[in-house]
Amino acid sequence: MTKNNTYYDKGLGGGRNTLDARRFWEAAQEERLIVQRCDECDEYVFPPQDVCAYCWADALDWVEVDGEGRIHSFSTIHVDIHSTWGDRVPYTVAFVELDEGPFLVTNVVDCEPDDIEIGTAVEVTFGELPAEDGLFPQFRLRE
Amino acid sequence: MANRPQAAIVGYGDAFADFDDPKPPITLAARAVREAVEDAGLDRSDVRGQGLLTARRPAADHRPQWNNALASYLNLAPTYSTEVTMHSAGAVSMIEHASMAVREGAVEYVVCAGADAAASLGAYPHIAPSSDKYTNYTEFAGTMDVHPEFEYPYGIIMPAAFGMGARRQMHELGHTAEEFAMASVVCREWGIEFPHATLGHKGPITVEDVLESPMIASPIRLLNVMPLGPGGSGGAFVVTSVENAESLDADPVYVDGYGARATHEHVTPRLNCPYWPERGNLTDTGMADAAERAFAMADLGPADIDVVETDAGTSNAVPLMLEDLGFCEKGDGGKFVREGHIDPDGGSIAFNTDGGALTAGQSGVTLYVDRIIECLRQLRGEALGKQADGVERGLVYATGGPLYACNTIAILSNTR
Ligand SMILES: [Zn+2]
Repeated sequence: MTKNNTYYDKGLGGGRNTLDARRFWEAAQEERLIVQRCDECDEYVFPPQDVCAYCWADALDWVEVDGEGRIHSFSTIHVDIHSTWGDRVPYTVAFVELDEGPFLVTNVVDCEPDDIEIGTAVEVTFGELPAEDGLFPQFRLRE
Repeated sequence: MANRPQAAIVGYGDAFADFDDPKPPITLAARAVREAVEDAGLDRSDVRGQGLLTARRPAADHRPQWNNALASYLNLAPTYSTEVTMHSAGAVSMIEHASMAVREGAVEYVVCAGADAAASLGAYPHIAPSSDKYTNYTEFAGTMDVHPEFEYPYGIIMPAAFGMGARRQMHELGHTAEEFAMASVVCREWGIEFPHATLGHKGPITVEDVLESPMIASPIRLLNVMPLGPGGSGGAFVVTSVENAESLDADPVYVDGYGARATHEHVTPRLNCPYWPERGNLTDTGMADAAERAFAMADLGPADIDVVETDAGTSNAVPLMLEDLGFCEKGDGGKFVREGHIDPDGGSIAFNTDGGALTAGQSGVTLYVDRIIECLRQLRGEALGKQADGVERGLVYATGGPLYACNTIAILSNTR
C-alpha cells in the first residue's frame, strides 16, 4: 500500500526512509524509539545523520530511549491546509524534549489542547498518521 | 573597523501587479531593472556585461538559475552573476555581494533584482493559492521549509513553527498575545497609505480585532499572519563604487554595513544544536549576531537608525526582532511595542513604513526586495505611502526559513 504524497515519493535525500534514518524507522515499526549518540563527543544527534553534526566523527551509535519527556512548546492547528490531515483538524504539533536530551517534532494525541502546556509530561506511543505508511512515534500525556 | 561607506546604490525601480491584472515575475523584474538603470542616469549599454544578481527564484516561476533567465530576457550578458538565496533573506545579501564585487573591481555596476507574483502562482497547481487569495499565505507556503522526514508527516505548517516559537517567547520573555496583536495593529497603521498594500484598503484594526480573528496555529491568529499579496511585485537597484557614484547624475544611497548569519535549515536540527546558543533555545536568534556585524562594519549603533524595514511573517516576530536587532533589551520587545516606540505617530523608529509583510503582504518568496526598495524610497524622501520625517539612516533586515534560520542585514544612509 503506497499512498500518494508527491513530497515524499522523491526517494533518497528528500523523503521518508532516507538511508541515514532507515534504522530509526525500522525500530519505530517495532515500537522502539532510538536516537543517535556520538562516541567521540557524547552529543545526541537528531535527526539521524551519517556523520556527527558536532565533531564530524564517524562514531554514531544508536541508543534506545525510554520515550518519556516534556512538552517544550506546541501549537494547535485549526486550518486544514496540510495535505495529510483532513478531518483530523484541529491537531497539535509539539516540540518534545526527551528525558535523555534530544528534541523531536511530533504530535500530541488523545487529549484536548487545553490539557497541554509547556512542561507537560508526555510519553511515546506508536501510531499511524494520515496519508502515511507505517508507525510513527507520537506522544500522549503521562499520568 | 569601519571604512564606511562600502558602496553606493545609485538607482532603484519597482513594479507591481494586481490580482485582477496579473503579470509574471520576469516582467515585473525587467520593468524594475529598466527603471533602476534609468534612475541611476545610466543606459543599458552601461550595465551590459556587468554584474547581475537576483534574489531566490520566484515561487511563480520555477526555472532554476533565475539570474540567467533574467539576463536573457534583458540581454544583459553579465560577467558576474548569480542567484543569491539564503532562503528569501538572500535579497538583502545582494547588497553585500554587490558591494564586494564593486569594491574588488570585478565589475563597475551590479544590477540586483527580485520579483514574485502571487497572482501567477496558478501556473504551478501544486502550490496554487486557495480561493481566499488575500489571506491564505498559509496554503501557499504552509509546508515549505519543513523537514521532509521528521516534521512534514506530523502536519507541521509554517505558522505552527512560528506559533511554537511564539509560545516560547511568551514563556521565556513574557511577551503577550496583546503585544503580538499590537504589532499587527502598528503595521496596519503604517501600511494603510501604501498604495500596493494587500490589506491597506481594509483600514485600521484594533487589538481586539486581532485577538478575535480566527485561530490558525495557536497562539497565532489570522491577523497575526502576513497575507499573500499583492498580485505581483518586483524591485531592482544598481550598486556601484562610491567613486563611480559621484560621477553620475544620481541621488545615491550609501551602503554603510552588512551582516549575515544562517543557523539551520529545519527547526529540529536547530532545537538539537548545542551551539545556538544551547539545546532547545528558540528565542535567541542569528539576527543578533548579523546585526552586530552590520553595526560594527558601519561603526554605528541602533540609536543611529531612523527607519527599519523588515518583515514579520507572523507578528510575534516584531518584538523579537526589536530585541535582537538591538533596539531594546532582550525581553523588552513587547514592552517596546506597547510603549509606542514603533507607532507612526510619536514613535522613535519608523518601522515597516509600507506596512511590512503583515500589511503590504508578500507577493511570493522574494518579499525582501520590496522592503529594500521601501528603505531606498524612505532614504530618498520618495515614499509612495507614509514618508517618515528626518530619515538619514535605514536598516533592512530579512529572515528566511523557519524560525529565523537565515538572517541578513544592510545599513544604508543618504549621506556620506
Ligand atoms: Zn560527535
